[in-house]
Amino acid sequence: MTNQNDSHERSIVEENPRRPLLEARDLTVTFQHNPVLSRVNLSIDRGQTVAIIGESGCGKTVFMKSLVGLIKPNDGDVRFDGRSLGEIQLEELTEIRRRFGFVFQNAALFDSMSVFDNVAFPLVQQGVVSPSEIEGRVMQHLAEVGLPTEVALRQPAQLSGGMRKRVGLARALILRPEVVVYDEPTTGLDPIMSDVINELILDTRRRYPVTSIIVTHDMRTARKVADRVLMFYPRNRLDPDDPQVIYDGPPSELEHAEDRRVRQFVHGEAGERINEMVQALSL
Amino acid sequence: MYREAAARRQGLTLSEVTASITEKSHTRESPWVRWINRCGGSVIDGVLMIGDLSIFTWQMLRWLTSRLPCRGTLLVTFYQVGALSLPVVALTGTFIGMVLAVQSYVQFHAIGLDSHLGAVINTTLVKELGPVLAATMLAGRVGGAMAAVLGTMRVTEQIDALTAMGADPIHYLVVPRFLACILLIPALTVMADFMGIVGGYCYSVIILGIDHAAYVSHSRDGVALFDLFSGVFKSVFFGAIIAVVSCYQGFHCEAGAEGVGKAATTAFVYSFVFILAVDLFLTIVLNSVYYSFYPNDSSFL
Repeated sequence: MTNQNDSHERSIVEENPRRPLLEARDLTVTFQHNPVLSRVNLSIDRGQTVAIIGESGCGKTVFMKSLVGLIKPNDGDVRFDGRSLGEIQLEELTEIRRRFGFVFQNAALFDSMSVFDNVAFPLVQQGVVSPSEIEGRVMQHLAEVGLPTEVALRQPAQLSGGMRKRVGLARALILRPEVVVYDEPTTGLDPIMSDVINELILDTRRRYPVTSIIVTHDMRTARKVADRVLMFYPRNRLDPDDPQVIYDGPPSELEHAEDRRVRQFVHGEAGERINEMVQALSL
Repeated sequence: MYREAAARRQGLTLSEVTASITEKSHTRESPWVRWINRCGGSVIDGVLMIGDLSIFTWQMLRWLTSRLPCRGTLLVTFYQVGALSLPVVALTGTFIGMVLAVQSYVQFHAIGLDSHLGAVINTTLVKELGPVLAATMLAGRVGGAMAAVLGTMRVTEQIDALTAMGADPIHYLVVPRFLACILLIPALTVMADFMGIVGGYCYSVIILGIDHAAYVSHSRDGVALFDLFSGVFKSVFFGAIIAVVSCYQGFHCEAGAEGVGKAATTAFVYSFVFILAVDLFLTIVLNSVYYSFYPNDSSFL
């Protein structure tokens, strides 16, 4: 009976092209008895560009890594294209990860390889193109992120922060993924380079039909790039029954959000947080 | 920063606030309860680590039997582990051989057995010091570096990047290092043995003036083929310990520069302790095997 139900459900899921691309159902992640995410329910549709904002330690990056299966949830489920990441075999999970492009906070370029080898790595690893095509593809993607060809021979340690991010973006896009996940893409960059990265994100969206998830503190990035904003709040500052996602809407409404905590974050105001910290210290 | 600001608002220094919190939390529990908590926590951590290490090793062995890494990755790792370790192993082996000659000469000279010095030096080197010395040098030079490199990769999310790109980090990073250690440590051990024997010979014959022919003859009689085999056999286990412990420490590195440093240090210390413990166990087993075949071969002097 259960199998019949499962197959029925699967057929409905497969037949429904409007199902969300990514879904988190009651997602709960705990580190050493400290809950980071608790019963988070979210869905992300194809083609959306979602910015996830929130103060440090609120679980944005943990949520993002859970979506790709880099962190296993203690409870709940993540579904990609209707398939539960917790129920599939490692081989299938690896297949799903190939449909993601991941831009890490500090680019996470492999120190032991040149820029060329870093960008070519996914192609070599997956063996999806012939060796003769690799060079052309790498150079094309480096050019798309505005890097000259001579950069290909450099080591990651010889690059500036902005160049590293752009190489990371080229590497993430080289397999033409369906979902691109950006972890704080503009953190640590000057305003000009931050805007260059924002433009590259927009350009990527124009060029490829990608779904983008951007974890950021940078409100300028959220406003400029996203068409939907999610704001997470630290679990340890909430009552057990409070939802952890305190804002889910368009970036244009952030300024006028009903929740005072959202407006405080958007305007960068500490508010009552200083007093709370004094109280916490004196307890 | 926030703690400082908060403390300043209350007219307290940060250290006063921290001290008051510490004092309050300490007064809640008796010292015995705290001590028992700490001991219990350490035992649980130890059991968890052994379990985790076993799973890590099992995953690595599964890759080893299913799909090997590409030749390019293997060759680079083999070069770093084997070729670059050769000079330091050879040099330390030479000095150990000489030191053994210096330490043993006075006693052997006193009883007129100078020419038997070679047998003692060579047997000690081939059976024990050669493999342990090669393993120690490998644990220090390669094991520490492995833990530091993998730890840095963990901290800078490079290991996550590998996983995100569909590459298994254990297959890509651990299997080549494991293969390099277990396949090359026998060669390094033989090199340590050889250079130690040469060093001992040079010091004994050239500096101490022991007769060349007698020294060589006794040396040849003193070392059996089984001695060489037992040293090389043990070294394979030492190589496996170095690779598994160092890679595990790197993979489970804590954040920051301190975490990477701690991983490198812990990798060496744990590897060395495991090597000596396994050495004792294997020596007992190999001796039992040897004496079960040759029960009367207990003295060569």
